[in-house]
Amino acid sequence: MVWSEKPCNQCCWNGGFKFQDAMRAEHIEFVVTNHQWIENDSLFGDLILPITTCVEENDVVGSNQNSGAKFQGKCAPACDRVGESMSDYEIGVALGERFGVAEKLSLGMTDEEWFKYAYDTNVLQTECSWEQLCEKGYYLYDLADGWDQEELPGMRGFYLDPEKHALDTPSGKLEFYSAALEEHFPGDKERGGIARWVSGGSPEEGWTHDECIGGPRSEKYPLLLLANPSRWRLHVQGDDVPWVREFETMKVKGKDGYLYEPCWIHPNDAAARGIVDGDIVKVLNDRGIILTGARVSERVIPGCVMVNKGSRVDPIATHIDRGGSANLLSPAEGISKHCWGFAVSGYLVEAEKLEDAEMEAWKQEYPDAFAREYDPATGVNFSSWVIEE
Amino acid sequence: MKAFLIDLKKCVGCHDCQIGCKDEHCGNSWLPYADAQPETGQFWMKVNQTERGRIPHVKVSYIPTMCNHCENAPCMKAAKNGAVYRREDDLVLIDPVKAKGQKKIVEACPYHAVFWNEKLNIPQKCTGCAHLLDGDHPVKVPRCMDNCHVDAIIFGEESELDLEGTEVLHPEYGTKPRVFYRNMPKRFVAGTVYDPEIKEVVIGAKITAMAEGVEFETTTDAYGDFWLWNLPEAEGKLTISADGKVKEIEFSTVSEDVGLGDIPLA
Ligand code: SF4
Ligand code: SF4
Ligand code: SF4
Repeated sequence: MVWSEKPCNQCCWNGGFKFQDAMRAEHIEFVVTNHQWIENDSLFGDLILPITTCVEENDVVGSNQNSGAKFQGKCAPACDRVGESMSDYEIGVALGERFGVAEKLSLGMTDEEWFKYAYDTNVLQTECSWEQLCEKGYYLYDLADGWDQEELPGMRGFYLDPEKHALDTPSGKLEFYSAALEEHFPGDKERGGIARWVSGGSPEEGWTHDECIGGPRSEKYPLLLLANPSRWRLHVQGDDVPWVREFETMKVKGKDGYLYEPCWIHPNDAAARGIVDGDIVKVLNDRGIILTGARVSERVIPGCVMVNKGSRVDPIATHIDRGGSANLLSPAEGISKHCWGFAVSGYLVEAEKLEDAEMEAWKQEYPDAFAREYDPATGVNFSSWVIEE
Repeated sequence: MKAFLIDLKKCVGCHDCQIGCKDEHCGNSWLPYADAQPETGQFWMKVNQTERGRIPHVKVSYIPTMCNHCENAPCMKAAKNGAVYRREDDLVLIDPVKAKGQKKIVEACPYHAVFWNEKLNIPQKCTGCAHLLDGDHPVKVPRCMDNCHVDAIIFGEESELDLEGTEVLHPEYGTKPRVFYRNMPKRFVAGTVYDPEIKEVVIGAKITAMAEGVEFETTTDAYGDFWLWNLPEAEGKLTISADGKVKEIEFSTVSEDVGLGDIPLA
């Protein structure tokens, strides 16, 4: 059984098509997901639990390391619970009760006790009393006295006096050669002691990847797909906002009226493939096919195509996606033998104009996929999948 | 007498003005100023973009466009029984009651700033957010202006705006628009100069261009790149010179900007 509280692996992470296969494997007898509006991986759910959005919850929040202004907040719900929704935590505790292990998760504490516990272990308590926080609901940290005078920004200290302001590396210096990597992870072809350009190759030769122009696989799949985050979404969030979907560069309207995810392609590459602006384009590799809409543009370098990651999936069949979710085509492997990062920034593909005959054949073979309700204003959505409420 | 002033050099193309306008008017009826805008399909504010040049010398220009609240408004002339009227502050508004069924108002606008609402059977467009200007609202300026975080859009008393050197869209239509644009993009010619013998870019090469009898001048930067800005729409001749080598190239900016790519200076 698989239970996912963040059902968006196929679009946000790597090896999306492989993930789809995994979720459909025979030995997974049951899939549960927590979601508000049946997005992406929720489609595999035998059971979808209605979950609260953050605005329905009583919770504490804080700034993350990327925020300019450091803050802590204690937020009461902004609205009533929608339907029967519960938070991930509440579901976990309720299930724990059923199996007699609720205390293992809750540690016997109520929500308010949890919040107080978090406060008691936070530096916040030195600046703001618990009563103050509860009353005001948020706190913005004071800046340290003289923060703009004494502290040296970034690597300024190292620049001024490298001995006194040594870096965090084993040698304290900038390391072009990492002795630590060579010592602990010898024979790593992608991540050796010295960072250098490699184009990858076959697993038999010890490579984790073959995803670069110039590598053997690029003979068959000569284009490098750049799966940048979209300017108009946050990862997969906001692919269904009607006012944003009307922006000129958000989607490409295909001749069938469907709003396809743009495939940015240079005029030279497009001409070589008989692709013109607005065509429905198959972007493919040995992992599958995604459908996109051609945006022929000088804004992308020849040899590359850009399909922003995070378009909502709309499967026609296994390994054929009409939604144009780029990361379905990405490799499932990590970054290198010893480094588990995901390689989703670029991978090899080919682009082809979708011929009417092929689309027709799919329509014959997979009628259900084309019968789903579709509103261009929002794209694939709740009503595309829920036939009766 | 009010006017809009939009500075295109400040505009980053974020579309927040377009979204703000929708947020203000979609599903919100501000009678008698305007009825609710449908959720999709109408753009009282629309950010247009143009891709210019050739790789690797490419620029994208954004132009937020809206009703120009024209002094000689063809939409007013096309309207029957005063369905399009001019307020005291010179904003041009469509009366949603009187304009019922008057599709001619849509067709009359040469800027395509008027949209037809099929359901309500009325023409609709930018109101200058007159309801915000008159009413007791927390926001007292047009919503697009309020939404623009770089102050690219300014609305105010025309006499108090600095309109020196600004332009309007399609002055040839003769409608006398009251939406003024600063830093409207002009043509550019760009390229990268390199020495084919040593396979290096040429830094500091002198670039001159003659177009319409005016000379334009620049030098190549540390990447061998040059950009000649603010050229007229014309035929011209470019001269590249460095270390006693000279190269001449004819160009035309009549219909588009020119990206010359890599240029060998032998
Ligand atoms: S909000 Fe301002 S910066 Fe953004 S597109 Fe509109 S005018 Fe440009
Ligand atoms: S831009 Fe069009 S709608 Fe606006 S005042 Fe001028 S003619 Fe009328
Ligand atoms: S003034 Fe108001 S109605 Fe006109 S474009 Fe701006 S936000 Fe829209």
